[in-house]
Amino acid sequence: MTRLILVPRGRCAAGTPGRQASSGLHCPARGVTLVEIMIGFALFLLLLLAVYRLFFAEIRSIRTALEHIGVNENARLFLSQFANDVRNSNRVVFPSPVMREVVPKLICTGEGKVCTFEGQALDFAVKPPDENFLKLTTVDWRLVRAKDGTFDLVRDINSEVPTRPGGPAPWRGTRAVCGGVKDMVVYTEIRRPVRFGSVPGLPLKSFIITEPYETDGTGPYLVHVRITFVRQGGGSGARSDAAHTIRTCFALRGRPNGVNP
Amino acid sequence: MNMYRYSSGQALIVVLMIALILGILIGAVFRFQQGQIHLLSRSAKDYLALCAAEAGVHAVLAEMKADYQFVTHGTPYIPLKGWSSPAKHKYWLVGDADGLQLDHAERGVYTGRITMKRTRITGEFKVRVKLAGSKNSVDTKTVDESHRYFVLESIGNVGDACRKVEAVIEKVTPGSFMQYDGQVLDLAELGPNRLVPGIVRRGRLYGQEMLKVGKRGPLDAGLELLDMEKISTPGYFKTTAGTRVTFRNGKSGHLKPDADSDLPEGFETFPEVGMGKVLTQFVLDGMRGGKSEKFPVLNPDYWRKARDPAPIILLPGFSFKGFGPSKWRNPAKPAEVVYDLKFPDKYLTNQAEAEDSSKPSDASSDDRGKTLIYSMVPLRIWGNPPFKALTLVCEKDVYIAGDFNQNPKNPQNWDLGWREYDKKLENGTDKNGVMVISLGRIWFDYSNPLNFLREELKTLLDYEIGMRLGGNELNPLAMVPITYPPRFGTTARDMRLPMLALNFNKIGTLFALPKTPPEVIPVTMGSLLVHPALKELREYFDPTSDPAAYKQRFCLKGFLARQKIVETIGGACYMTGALLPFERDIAIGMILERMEKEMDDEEPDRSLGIWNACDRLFKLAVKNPRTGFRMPEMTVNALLIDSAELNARWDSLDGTGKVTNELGNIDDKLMRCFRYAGDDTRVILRHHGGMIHLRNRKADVFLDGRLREDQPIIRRRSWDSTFVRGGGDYFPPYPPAAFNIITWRDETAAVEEFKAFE
Repeated sequence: MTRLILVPRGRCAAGTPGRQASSGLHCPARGVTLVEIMIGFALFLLLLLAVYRLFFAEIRSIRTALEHIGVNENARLFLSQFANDVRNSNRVVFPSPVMREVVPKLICTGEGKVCTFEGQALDFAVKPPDENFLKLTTVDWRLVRAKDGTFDLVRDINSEVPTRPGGPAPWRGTRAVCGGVKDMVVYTEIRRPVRFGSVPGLPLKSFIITEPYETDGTGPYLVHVRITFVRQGGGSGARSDAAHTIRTCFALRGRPNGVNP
Repeated sequence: MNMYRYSSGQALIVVLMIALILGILIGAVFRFQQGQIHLLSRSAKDYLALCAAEAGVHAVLAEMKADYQFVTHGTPYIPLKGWSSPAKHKYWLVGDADGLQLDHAERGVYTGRITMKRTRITGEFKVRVKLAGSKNSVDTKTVDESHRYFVLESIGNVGDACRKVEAVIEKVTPGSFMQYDGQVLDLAELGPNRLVPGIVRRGRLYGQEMLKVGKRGPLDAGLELLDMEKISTPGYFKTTAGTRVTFRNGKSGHLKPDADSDLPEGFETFPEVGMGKVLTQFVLDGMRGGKSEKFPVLNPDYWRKARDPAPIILLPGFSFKGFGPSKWRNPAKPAEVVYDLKFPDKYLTNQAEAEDSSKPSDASSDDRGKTLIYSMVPLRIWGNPPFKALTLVCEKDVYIAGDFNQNPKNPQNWDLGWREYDKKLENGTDKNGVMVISLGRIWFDYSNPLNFLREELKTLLDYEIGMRLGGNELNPLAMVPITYPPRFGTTARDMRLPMLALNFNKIGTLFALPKTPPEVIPVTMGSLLVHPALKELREYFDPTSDPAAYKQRFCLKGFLARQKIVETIGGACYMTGALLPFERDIAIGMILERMEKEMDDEEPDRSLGIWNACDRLFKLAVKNPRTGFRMPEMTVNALLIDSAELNARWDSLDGTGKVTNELGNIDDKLMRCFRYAGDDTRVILRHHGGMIHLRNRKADVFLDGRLREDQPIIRRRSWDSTFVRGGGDYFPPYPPAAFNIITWRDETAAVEEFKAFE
């Protein structure tokens, strides 16, 4: 009868394992119990699960990060291009200015034209009042619905100024600026018109006569914009979770000119 | 072989592989983000470069606002091809400030740098500006396009990012405006109710905060704005009464109360359209593109340090013929010592004549063409500056106390209702080119009628002397060719006829007195002073306490002077039996000279003849239109630019509560004056030239209206072309200007372009 000697694993009762074998003494066979196997397997599964979760969580976070980077990139493209257009404009053709009180009630623009800017260049080689003394460039900003339900922003340029000396003029061009726009509103604001009642006198002048729009930094020369970007690439359909909303304003540097000043 | 031993370590491999994949992914994300950061950093640097370029633009604009001739290349008068000929800079207005450092190069490109406080990033800029060389439009007479537009280029650099700005700067000069107000331009006017609308002709109208068109009240006929080139405000446009307006292109219309900025949807801009494009819009408010044309605060150094011509500087305590402290005081500022600067009464077109006239002692004869006078004391001015072109700059207030820069021989040619002066004034014949600039207020001082009614009084005195020599039998119609025939032009000869014994019985009586033997002549001459034939004439000059008699006289206080005048007239009548025009002129000259002396040297006296002459003159002028009788009129031919803020009674509505910078026609000891015009009398203020209120320096006193009594004053204003182009010798030196950005284009540039920018 084989005795199963319970000794600590890996150790012979008579001495070291090597000496055990050479002396012909029986050492118990090495092995793992079922319990051990089960525990090990469970641990392995847990490890695998952790790795699996870690891996795909990382994948998701990378994807989210990429989407946010995309949002930032869209915002950056929008800001730089929009600011550039406003800075270089002489007047806002569309939309018309609204009263300040109305601004909170403004609804966002759907698909279609959002705003139009007009830039002017004076051609000093032309003798006014020839109308060619004043050359116009209009820039339309449009929202175009994309497949994922968001909007793409597009600029349409119509210019009488050639892109290079001797180049074709007038010319037209369309360029996509960015995507991932959920909604957008552009406006310029004006004050409520003064109603002269029976308010006389110089001491009250400053209360009834306000500074010109140019001086107080508002009016048709300050373009306000509110735009919301969402992450793109997360599946079909519009994303409801706004990733980035920008509320800012830009000042026109130029002023409307006529052929005759 | 132990299989167990070989299978161990597989998990490690798996883990390593997973880690490798993750690492690759993380690396990719990291690299992407690095790229993004780089891009954003590039964008930020680009933005900062734009900020640097903009800082340069505004520094140069500030320099242009201080030195109105500032350019970095070429001159402000001759257009330049390319960017050659760097200009030498005279002085600088802008200095280093926190975060701004300027190089102030001696000539050429304007350079400097800005340092961002937090990031300590430094952005450099270079700016250049030159005259654009536009061509003049035949349509616009009030602006000179060839000297209006300037091209400005600015380039900013931060690290390897550069941004270049190209802008067009519009130069605005005061000479373009007929009326300009840096706060509120109120055309509702003052003065008496008008039966026919007043005329405001040509030029540009501008109000910075508001431009208001209206009437004085419901009984007033209001205004007509004729031949307008632009009516604009960057603020608010208000119409309280319908006003007819015509524009330079012949179009006309009405400014209506229901079509102003109150009701934006009805606003009418009166566009001028050509070939489908809007050439100009004649009426603009801030919402519809009315541009700011606000003038900067005047820089006195611009004139004080001028070199060609250098200024004649008037200092306190300094005096010469025609210049010195005045007894006159502004009752609103009684402590202020005002200096009289009296130019000759006679209009001097000839340089030799000018040499003989009163002139500043340190002025050389070479400076007579274009002259610059800089005063550090308040000035009270009138007369005819003997210069073809004069710029008068005063650090204090300026009081225009009489006819100024007006050839006295220039006849009046008013239409019905004194609406229009139908003869165009000519430089060199009727007037010279004069610009008056004050860092305080410019006032109209009507207190001394002798300063502006001198020419008008000559006809009145001639007529009234004749009436007193004619006796009861004199037919008044006979006086027309003798004392007030029509006057057709400035250079027309004197058409007055002599007063003869035939028509004037008193002359006949005197002429009939014995002349032989010759020894009797001196005896008779001596007795003329008490001769009954000259009784009326003597009484005409005698002071009286009887109000009724006083109103018919021209009283002089000096007994001897009166005797001499009567003797002169009587002697001529006795010797020749005729009173020739030149003899009458001598007597009239004596009367006016004596009157002036009595007003200047003695205390104010109500009994002097000057204080009741205006009413009589007005009535005779109304009865005899377009003759030698002229309306009482103060004539000012000059571009007037003052700086003080609106600090006077003002009403946003139409009404009589408005006050302007006007003094006179009141009883006031300090002004040495009494009322000389009743409410039914009219005195015209004819101002030919722009009226510019910059409103950018504090005003010292508040005007409540008690010093004006402006009920008789009718104001007639028209624009003067002298200050645009074609002025030639008559273009006053050193006009101020405003500069504004009108177009803007910025783009990315290469570092090499920044380096090559010069």
